[in-house]
Amino acid sequence: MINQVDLSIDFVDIRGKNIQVLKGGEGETLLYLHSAGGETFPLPFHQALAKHFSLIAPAHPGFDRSTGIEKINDIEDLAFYYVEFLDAMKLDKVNIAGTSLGGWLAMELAVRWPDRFKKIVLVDAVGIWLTESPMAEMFGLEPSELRELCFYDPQSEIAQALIQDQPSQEMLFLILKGLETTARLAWNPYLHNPKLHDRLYRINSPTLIIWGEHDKLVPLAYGQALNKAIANSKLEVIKECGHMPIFEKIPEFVELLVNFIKSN
Amino acid sequence: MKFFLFHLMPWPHLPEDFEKHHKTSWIWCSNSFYDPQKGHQVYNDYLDQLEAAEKLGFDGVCVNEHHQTAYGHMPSPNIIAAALARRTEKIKIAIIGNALPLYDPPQRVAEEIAMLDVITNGRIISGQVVGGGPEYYSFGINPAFARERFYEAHELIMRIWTEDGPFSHYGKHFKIKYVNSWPKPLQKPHPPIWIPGAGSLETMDWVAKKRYAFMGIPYFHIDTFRKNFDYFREATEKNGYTAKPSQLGWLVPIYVAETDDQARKEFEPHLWYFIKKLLKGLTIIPPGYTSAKSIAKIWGDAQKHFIEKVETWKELMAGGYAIVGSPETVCEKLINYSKDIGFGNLLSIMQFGDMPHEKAMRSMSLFAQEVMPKLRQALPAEEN
Repeated sequence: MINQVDLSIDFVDIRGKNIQVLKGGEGETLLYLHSAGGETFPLPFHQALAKHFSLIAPAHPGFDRSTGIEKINDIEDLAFYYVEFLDAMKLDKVNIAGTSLGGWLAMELAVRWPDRFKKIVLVDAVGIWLTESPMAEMFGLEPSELRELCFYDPQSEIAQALIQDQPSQEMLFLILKGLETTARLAWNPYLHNPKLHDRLYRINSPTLIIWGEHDKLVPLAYGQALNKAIANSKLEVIKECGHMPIFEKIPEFVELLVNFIKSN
Repeated sequence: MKFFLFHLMPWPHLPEDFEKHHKTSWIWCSNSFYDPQKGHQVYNDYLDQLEAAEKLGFDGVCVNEHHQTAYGHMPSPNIIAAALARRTEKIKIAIIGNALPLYDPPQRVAEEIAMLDVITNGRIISGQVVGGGPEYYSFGINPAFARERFYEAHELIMRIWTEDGPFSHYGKHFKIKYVNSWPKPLQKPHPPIWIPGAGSLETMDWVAKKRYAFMGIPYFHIDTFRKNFDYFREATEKNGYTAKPSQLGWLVPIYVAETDDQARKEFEPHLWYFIKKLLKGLTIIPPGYTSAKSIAKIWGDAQKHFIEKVETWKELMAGGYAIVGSPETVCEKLINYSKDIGFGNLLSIMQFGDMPHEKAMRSMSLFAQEVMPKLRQALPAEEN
């Protein structure tokens, strides 16, 4: 591939937590918050984003090699940790994007500290609950079932590569760790905070909501509900895409995000 | 050797082709399979078996807790223990165990066990467990906090039993201003504590440190028990004492008939009912329920040494997954295994899978008359 951007992994100390941070690119800063899937190591979508931004993509405590999950017991604790992260990284007012769990986290941050965020991008975000359109079960699945749940085309090469039937020992350990942290934050209430929906009015930054049309884990109804609840928002739906536009539709995802953040 | 009759209270009426259409008898197995009309008979047969244990000369009975599954429909073992409390006079009633993280507040366990202990004049053994993996799905309890909740609830219960109230408890998972449970248990300082376990090193270390008794839960190859019991004895030595056999229990399915062939013929269909229908799903491990490292170890053991992997009768017998045969065979095997792995409490599952009442009763009687006396002679129990 040509025009590769160098991505590096560093560690920073945030009040005693050792945090793994993936960085790369130049220009305006974009903070990317990852999903429960743990996209914490360099991947093609990071590359694509780093061509346009100075990308900062930390691993949450309890994911990959980031430590310090013991003192984090719910999503609010994680949000309070992240405001420390913003301070430590001197991110006074930053563009933020998050997929799924990361989107939820971005919203929890933005309802508490709305002035810290320039523009917000939510990608197939969890975080609220719609009784008439429940989120699907993500725990206790076989790899094939998880592929089915997360991808529009579970047979695709990328789906097969990211969720393997027989993952390596190292990969399996990463997956188990990520699932454990996700359960800790989101077992019950399942993948949401019942108080968040009524707080979304506090978000005043321009917000782009990107959704895979065929998201089977978090149905499109959630994207529509977020669009309704957040004042200055718009919803973009990507066709032939499931829960993971960052893997399944990289060019479309990046184009939407770049145009939104770079527009006036 | 002491003899306990252990009951799972399995649901025996799953359809013959159940396993063709259903992946598990846990969590998602519809309770439309439950029929209260048949259930009336099932519960009463099972209670008759447990009550018979006293007349047959067992030292005690064991009941246990599972939720939302055909594997064992005894969601409240304390209710079954209460039913037995007034229908028995001498035997111990071991509740192994109450799944502490599922009780909120944990005083519920302290109260109910104390009630039973007082009613029975001190015949209760309190088992305390984390609960099965599937139960974290069924009850919506966060598995990532399973161990923390267990240890906190356990310490609170022990404090309730050994200290005078009212006192306040301020923990991470439970905050209770006025803890002052009535009644208190009759046994002092508290009923014996038995902890069942599958072989998590952390659990065995903890049980050894606390000087409680460790019960090895079934369905593993005899090599796994040997390894775990050896580990437990070493753990007790690290804590400055040596475990006596009475501090160890072996939980195992047993069936006795007149001859080995007859025993196999009568027992085997119920074994396959158990393995193919009831067992599927017992090993569901929700995220955080145990550490990623432990999962790797347990999976390793399970791949080689778990009854679900057994395909032939020969493997089953060789692995000691179940003790089945004539009185002579069963007697000989139990003496050998007792000397081999060293346990002082035999917890026998005698009604297994969909085994009908009459068969279970006949096997129990044969065991009591032909096997138990010889084992008592060969392996005298320690003085308490």
